[in-house]
Amino acid sequence: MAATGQSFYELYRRSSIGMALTDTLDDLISERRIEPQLAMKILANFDRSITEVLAEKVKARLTFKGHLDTYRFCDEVWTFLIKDVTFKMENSSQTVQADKVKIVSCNSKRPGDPQ
Amino acid sequence: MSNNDSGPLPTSLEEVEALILQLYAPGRPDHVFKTQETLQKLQRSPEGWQLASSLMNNKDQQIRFFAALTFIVKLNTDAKSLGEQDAQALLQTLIGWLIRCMEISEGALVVRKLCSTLVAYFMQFSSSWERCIRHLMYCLCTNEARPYSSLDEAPETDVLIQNLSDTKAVAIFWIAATLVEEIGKTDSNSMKQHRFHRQVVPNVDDIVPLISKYIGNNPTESAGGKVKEEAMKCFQAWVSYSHRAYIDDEIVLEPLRSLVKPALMCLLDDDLYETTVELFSDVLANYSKFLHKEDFDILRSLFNSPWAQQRYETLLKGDFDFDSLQFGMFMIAFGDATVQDLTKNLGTDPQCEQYLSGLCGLLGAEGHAVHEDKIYVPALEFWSTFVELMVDDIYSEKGEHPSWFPAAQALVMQAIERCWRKSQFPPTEEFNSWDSVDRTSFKDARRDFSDLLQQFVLTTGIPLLQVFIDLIHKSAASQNWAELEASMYCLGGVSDTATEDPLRDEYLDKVFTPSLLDLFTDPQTEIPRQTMQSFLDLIISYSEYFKHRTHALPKVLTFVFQATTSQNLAKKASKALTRLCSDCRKILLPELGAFLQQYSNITSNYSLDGSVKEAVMEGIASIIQALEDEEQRVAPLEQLLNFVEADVEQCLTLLSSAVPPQEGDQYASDPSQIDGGRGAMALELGVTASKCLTGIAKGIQVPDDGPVDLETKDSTSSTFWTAGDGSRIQQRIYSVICRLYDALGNRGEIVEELCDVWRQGFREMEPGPFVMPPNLAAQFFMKSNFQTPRLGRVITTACSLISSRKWGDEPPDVLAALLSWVASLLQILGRPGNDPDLTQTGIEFILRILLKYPQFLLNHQPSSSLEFIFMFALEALVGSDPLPKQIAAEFWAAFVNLPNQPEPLQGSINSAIQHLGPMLAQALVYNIGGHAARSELDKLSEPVKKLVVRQVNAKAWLEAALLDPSFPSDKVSEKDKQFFLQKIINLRGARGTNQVIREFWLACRGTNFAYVS
Repeated sequence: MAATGQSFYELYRRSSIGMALTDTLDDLISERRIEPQLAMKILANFDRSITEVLAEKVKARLTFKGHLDTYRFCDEVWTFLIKDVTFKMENSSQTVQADKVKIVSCNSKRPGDPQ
Repeated sequence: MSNNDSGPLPTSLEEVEALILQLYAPGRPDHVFKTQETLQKLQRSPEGWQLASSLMNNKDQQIRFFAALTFIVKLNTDAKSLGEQDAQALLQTLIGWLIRCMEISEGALVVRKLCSTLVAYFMQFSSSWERCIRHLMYCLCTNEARPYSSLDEAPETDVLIQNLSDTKAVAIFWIAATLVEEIGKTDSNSMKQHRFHRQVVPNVDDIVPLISKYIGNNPTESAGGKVKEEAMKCFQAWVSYSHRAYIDDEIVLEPLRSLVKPALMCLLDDDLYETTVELFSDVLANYSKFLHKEDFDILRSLFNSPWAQQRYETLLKGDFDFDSLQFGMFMIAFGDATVQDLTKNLGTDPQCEQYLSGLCGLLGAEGHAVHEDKIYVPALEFWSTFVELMVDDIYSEKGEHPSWFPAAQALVMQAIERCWRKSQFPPTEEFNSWDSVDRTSFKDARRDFSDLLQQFVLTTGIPLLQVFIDLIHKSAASQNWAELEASMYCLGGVSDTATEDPLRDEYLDKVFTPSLLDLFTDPQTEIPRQTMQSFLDLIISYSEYFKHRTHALPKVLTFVFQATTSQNLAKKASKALTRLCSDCRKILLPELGAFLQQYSNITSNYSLDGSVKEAVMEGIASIIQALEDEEQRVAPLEQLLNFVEADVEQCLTLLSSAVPPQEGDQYASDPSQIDGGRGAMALELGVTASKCLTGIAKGIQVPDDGPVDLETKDSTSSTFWTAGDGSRIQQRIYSVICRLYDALGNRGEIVEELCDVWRQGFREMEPGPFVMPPNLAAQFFMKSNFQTPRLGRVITTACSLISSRKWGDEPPDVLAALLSWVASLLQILGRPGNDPDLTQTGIEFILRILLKYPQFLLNHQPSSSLEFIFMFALEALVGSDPLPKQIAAEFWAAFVNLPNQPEPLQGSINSAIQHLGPMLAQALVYNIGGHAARSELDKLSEPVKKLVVRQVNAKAWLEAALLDPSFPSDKVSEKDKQFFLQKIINLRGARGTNQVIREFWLACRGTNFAYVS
């Protein structure tokens, strides 16, 4: 039921795995092995699956520290810009540094969804 | 598909029938494929309509099925060929066929396909068949395929429904359910275009009375279970669809709501229970707004009924069959949908408390979590949501907890007690007998519980720790190891949240008591592995505690050192040791000698894994780092290096004593295979020695969270380690690295490990034993040649050297040598496509030099080599390998964007750009014109933007490239190209260029690629 009733964000299409999928679909269309309509359905399935998998299956975690430079809440989307960030991965004493990190977080229920 | 893939087309209907029967009969896959191709060709041909009509009356069911399928294919691909009259005639044909099916009691296979065909018809001609359900009822009642225009003459829907037989009602339910399922799958654009929702809505008034006939308040008593079940499934499909209609167009299908109450009563009907409970679980989970307040009241009283009580008890007693489990999921779905009300009415409404207690009870069903108890994880998820809600509302009432908080906390405490029991490992043998999925899921469930605890401690504060401390003492006293393990696991789980609390150490004093430490170090007590591991985890989680409470440290260290000698515990123990040494480095300084001795003891008595040795060495090195004077660090470091060198010696001895490979021996180039495994042992020792060096390098690094003393003199200029007494340490380290490389440099593992050692030094911000002069590092890298395994790793490590701050203002000549070394490797490689990894790392190295020391790149000799580098980077840009292309795009963006340099360097750059600019423009346009993958466009936009901003000739170069015969697409006109060029020039390198490039790429590729925004 959720599959037909609920709609999902397309934001993971810009992730590396989403872009790799889109490139592959482009290749399949170029080779005339699939039609663009099927590619659209596959991407819609991807939107759903990646959202569900990230919510349900990912158990790894990390902590990070940094300086909160900017934050905003617009159209139900929080955006945080953090500078001089240090990430600490679980089960590892090593840290990863980044000059700047942007965190975009959306409500797990899309605006307009009835809950 | 080419004609060659299918056989010759049949020439008669009989031949077609034979082919269909052949298709559905068992046969060789290639024959089936060929037959399918031939039949599909027929279906798609203009004669497909006629073929379907001819086959639909065939006496064979499979052929009639194929006829319905052919109608679907034609409707989906060729509906536009039908005029208005043709379409009406087709509808009457299909309905006539459906009537005949009813008359001859056609099998479900054909009827279902025919129902799908009618839905396919609706999808194409929805505007001329709006009241499709009523029209079908009318035709089926009168046993005549009447035209749609005659619908006005039909009796009222209620009358039609009364006259409809159960068999015909089932057919209507199939069509109605398929109709909304298919429309639910339609994407948003198509939905808007065809306005499907608006076309479907009128039908709800027709289907609801028909469903009501079977599941309503006064259902037809004579109706069989089959038709009632189909009615319920149809209702389920329509409710599901109504959610989509609400999201897309805010359409509420109100008539459906009248069926909720009678449908709920169907839960009590065993035949309808499974469909109904699934329906309401879905509605509660995804679309609870569909239900009215009265519906929730009915649900509440239903959950209080003896029926629910009996199902609940059956579930708790360990009946996890599908229908029993569904009841638990139904309870949880109701809890999720009403959690706000349930929580906020706690303390005032006894029913809420009762319901939440019931949900808490679900955490205590019989059987081990996951492996047997299937309701535990969903119930745990509910309680996690409940706790999150509590955290959100902690201070909702101006600094005070809301009034319902104490009651909610008491309930969560009950839930925690049950989860604690469920988190206890079964006996090891039993646990190992589970399949791997169950074992992993059990551990995941423990982590989910740990997450809940972390959240809950935010509402209770640190006193929550006392609960687990009591449990630890109780289970330790009774030596109940599973309980002790779970209690320590829970306590460790809240360590992150408890860190900042000033009372934390007082609570932990009650944990790390002498009696508990004695229990774990007592050789007479046999404690299961999982409990020992959990205790080590507890030490790791609270290692910082021992910095403040040094009295417990000796016993803890004794325990940890002991544990390193156990194969099952060694890895965790060594991690605990690293953590303790790092956190308590200053306190442990007086014990440094004892640590070195202890290391010597355990390595001489036990064979330790390489990673364990690395971790222990890291720990000891971090204590050495705490010594104030650099001179003091030399002696203990020498001792550590003695251990490493002992391994190296043993490794080399093994290699030299092994029988040398004969000429033509297949393992001649692989030392690990020499002499029946002696080589493998040598390799393992070599890897261990390298890992130990890395461990020492990590430990000796200055902690980055230490205080910065502004009074002390700047130590970055100290030459103690490079030219003073410390230099002999560096020489020994370098010697170990070189000896290992010389002996085992043709093994990828060794190359990687040694590169790791160098990286530790590059990362260090202050002088130290691993911060060696850059020329030493460069000399090591240049030992590698084209045959070296994992050469890409070596070059990447050289990249880290370039980026590190070890060069000072004037980089030495060795940088030029390093550049020549990389250039020669690329020349041997020849073309970028021959090894994408080497190409990528090679160009990245050149990019780093370009960014930091452009003069070294531009003055690179001989000039033919420099020319090769540029042409190689251009070739990588037009190639097909994604990573080389991306780094080449970065290189060219950086090159075009170089800041102004002093003369004569600037002159060289200008001349190079004038020469290379047209070729670069051509490579970029070739990609943007459709050759590049979509994901590469942003990277490729960068050099385009830089060209436009920095080069006056950019427009001419790009224009020539766009008009060049090598341009890869014929889908854009010259005008389009000029328009595109004008746009990117006008944008002058602004961010909008990326979008313009994306649109142009799309135009070049064609409309087939516009499926994604």
